[in-house]
Amino acid sequence: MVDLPLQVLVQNAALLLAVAVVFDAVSLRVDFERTRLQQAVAGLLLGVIGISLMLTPWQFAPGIFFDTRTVLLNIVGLFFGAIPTVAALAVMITWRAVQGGPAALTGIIGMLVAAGIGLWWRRRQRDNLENLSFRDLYLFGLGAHAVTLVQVTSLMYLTVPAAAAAVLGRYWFPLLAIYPVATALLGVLLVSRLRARRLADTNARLQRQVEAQLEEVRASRARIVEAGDRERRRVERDLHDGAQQRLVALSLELRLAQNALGADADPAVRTRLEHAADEAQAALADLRDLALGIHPLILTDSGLEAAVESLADRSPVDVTIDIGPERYAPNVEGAAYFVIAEALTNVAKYAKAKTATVRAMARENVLRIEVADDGIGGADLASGTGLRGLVDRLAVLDGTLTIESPVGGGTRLSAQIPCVRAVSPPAPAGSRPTSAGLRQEVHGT
Amino acid sequence: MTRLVLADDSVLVREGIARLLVDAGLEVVAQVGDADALLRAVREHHPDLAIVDIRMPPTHTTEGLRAAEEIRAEHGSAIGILVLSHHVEPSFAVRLLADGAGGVGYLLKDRVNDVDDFVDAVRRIARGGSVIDPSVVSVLVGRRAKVPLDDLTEREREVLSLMAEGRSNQAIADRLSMATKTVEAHIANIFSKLELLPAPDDHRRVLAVLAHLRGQVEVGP
Repeated sequence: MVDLPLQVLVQNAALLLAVAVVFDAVSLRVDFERTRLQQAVAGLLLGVIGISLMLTPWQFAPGIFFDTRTVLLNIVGLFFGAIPTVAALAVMITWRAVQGGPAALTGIIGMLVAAGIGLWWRRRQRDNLENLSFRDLYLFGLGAHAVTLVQVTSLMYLTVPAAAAAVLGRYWFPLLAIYPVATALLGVLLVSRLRARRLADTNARLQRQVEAQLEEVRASRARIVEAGDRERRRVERDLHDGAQQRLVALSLELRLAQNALGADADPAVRTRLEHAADEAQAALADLRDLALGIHPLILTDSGLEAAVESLADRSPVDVTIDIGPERYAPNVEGAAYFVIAEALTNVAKYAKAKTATVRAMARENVLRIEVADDGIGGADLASGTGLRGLVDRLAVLDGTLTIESPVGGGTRLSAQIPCVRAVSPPAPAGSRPTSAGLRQEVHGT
Repeated sequence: MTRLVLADDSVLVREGIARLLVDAGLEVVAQVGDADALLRAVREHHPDLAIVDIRMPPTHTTEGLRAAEEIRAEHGSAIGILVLSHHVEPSFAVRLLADGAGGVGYLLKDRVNDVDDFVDAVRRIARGGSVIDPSVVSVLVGRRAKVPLDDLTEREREVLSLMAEGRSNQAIADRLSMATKTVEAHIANIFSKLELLPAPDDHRRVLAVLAHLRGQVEVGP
């Protein structure tokens, strides 16, 4: 055991590297070195590694032994900073003091020097740690252990002069041959760890940014659709309360003017008034078509079932409706209505169908809509901008749209919209003792 | 003299209609701007007829329709009701007709433009007749495939439409320049071709035809 210091010290260095690799794998996951307490805990663990090195030294004589703890302390000082270094030193110095022996003081001072060199270089390399190369780290290790050699030599001559020459004669070569390499290897390990950590931090930051941006995009898309819906309702109402009412008033004025003309009036004036009234009438018809396409009054007033019946009334295809009188949030009703309206339009335009079925039913807070026909099939979501728009519209509500349309096998359009069922059935202000019965009869088909 | 109450939140429109009707010799006993005022005015004046804009404050949706249903529930068919709207829904028409009592009408607001027709409609409703806007009927008749109307001749389809608008046999005869007997024969044919039960009066006939055209089972009286 006394012989072959080179072999023993290589083994000791290998032990250091092996433990460091394990430590690295574990601490990367636990993510040490965040708070002061965590830094101190990391330091204590590093100190324990130091003890494990001191348990397998090259022993020259009882109380005089050598191991790679200075390599560990160089690196701890350089990469971990003050708090872990002090904690590790406390553990290792305590251990060395307990072991005692003639070289105890030399060993303890050697540890302080090694840690000090590491910390000193850390100050100089603060922002450059992750760029250190193997060569940089080797030279660092070489320099640090040259200092250690000088320090050990002088202290040995002071404390154990009898053994000093013999010890140092066998120690200097392994010290300068093995320790700088071990320092460089351990350093490279930590540099790669720093880089991995920096990369992970960057990734996490980017991911948070992307998620935040995605959330913002979703929110803004919802706001845009919401604003569009609100705007449609406003335009429809403005049309009604403004232009349409004024045109009716204008027609009335024209009629009253005609009435006021009397029997002996100029027939040309009468004709002019007639034409003006006809123009007002035509304008009203135009506005009516416009308003109908903007937002259906019946949807707001009577809900999805009645609004779909209105669509069915206008459809050339025989439409069977299976929708309850339940009401949903306005945006859900709006989306459901436009899905069904677009689907029925497509049925009428392209499907060559005789009959269609519209179903809508809420189960487990999802409104499931299905529009099926017995037409020629062959439709797909990519074919029409109308369907594309519906997908976008549903996506805002986290809804989905699917289409099954085998050629010759009819088309089945399904939409699912998350919803919370609102009041059901609609309960308008004021008592309507007969209306429930009326509705039942009307819908009792 | 026919006495009526007028409800519309637009003063301009209300005044205009009132003057037209007064010029035509009808009496407008009250003009109101919302459904609550309408119900009060009807209770106070017991008019022959209420003319109601479907959209009124506060929500501007179908207050007029609901007020109409309340008036029917409260006063029965003693008070006729004409609902005016900028836009017609067949389902609203059926909803109005559904109590089977007659004396109701549902017209586009633009119809005030044709004064004579409009005043005629008002008088017919006041007398207990039913008036449905031609555009409601044309929406339903326009889509051929839904209810098979192919068996009907062009003439029969015209008669069917006028019947659905609430015209009497006499009015249909006048409109189509044919004898009343011919109209009756056409109507018998239509009912048999559509497999509808003969209706006891003009009003039920309107409802039966509309319901049939909407693809619904006939609504019982």
